[in-house]
Amino acid sequence: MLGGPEDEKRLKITHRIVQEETKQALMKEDVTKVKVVLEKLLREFNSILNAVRKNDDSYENFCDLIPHAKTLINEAKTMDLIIKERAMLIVVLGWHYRKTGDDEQALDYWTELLNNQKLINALDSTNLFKARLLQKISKAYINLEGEENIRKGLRSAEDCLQIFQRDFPRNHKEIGLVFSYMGNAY
Amino acid sequence: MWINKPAQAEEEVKNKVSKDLENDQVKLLTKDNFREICLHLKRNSSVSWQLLQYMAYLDAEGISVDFIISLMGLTREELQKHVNELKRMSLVSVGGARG
Repeated sequence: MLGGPEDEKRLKITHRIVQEETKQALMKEDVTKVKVVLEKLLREFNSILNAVRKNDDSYENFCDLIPHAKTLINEAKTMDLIIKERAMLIVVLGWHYRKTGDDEQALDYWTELLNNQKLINALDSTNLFKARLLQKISKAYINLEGEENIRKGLRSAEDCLQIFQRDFPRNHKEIGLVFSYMGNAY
Repeated sequence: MWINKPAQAEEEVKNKVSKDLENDQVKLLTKDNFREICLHLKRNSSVSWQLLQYMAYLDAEGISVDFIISLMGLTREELQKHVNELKRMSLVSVGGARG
């Protein structure tokens, strides 16, 4: 029973081949259907994930969703799916890895996103998202320590500062914040 | 259990699967008959087919029932019905913790 004891609360596909063949069947039917399934999953997933993230008591549930987020991001990448939820999910995944102390993994996800301008535009075309992403990246690099990483972190912080000063010169709070941690890194 | 059938037995397998599906039971799941199973699900239980699709694009190590309920907007009882259908075809199982 699905509502039964704790050890009976997970659904599993019985075999990898079932998983692969299901994907193949959908792909053969119509590629756009694959995108529809992925879009629906990404949208619902983001809303569930964010609701769980905001609730401090459900961190365990949040962690339980992370492997699904990774799988979904890989599938979306394979299909080159350009929707804002893909970008949002990458940001959350990076946030998770930073929280668990894995800055390198966070950087892998975030730098890949930074290099995908189409995906960034899907989320925000004003450059604010890009500036904040650069801020996250620079902090993660600086946190890694070592001369090379700190140099990369400072370079990202300078790029971030350039966007803020050019496009959002009145955002003194965030500009000040970047200057502050740049100063610490120097 | 997955067994690769020789090509010459394909027609025989298809017939067997159709008959089994009509009789409400599939005991042997093979790569060859998977297409038939998909077709059966699409025709007779689109929600079960959708559930299988969603599961295919998530982590294979297991998905919490509560998450699936939120994702699909189903009641526990409705989900149970579709899980039973997929279980009957040996496509999914209900089990314990991750790993």
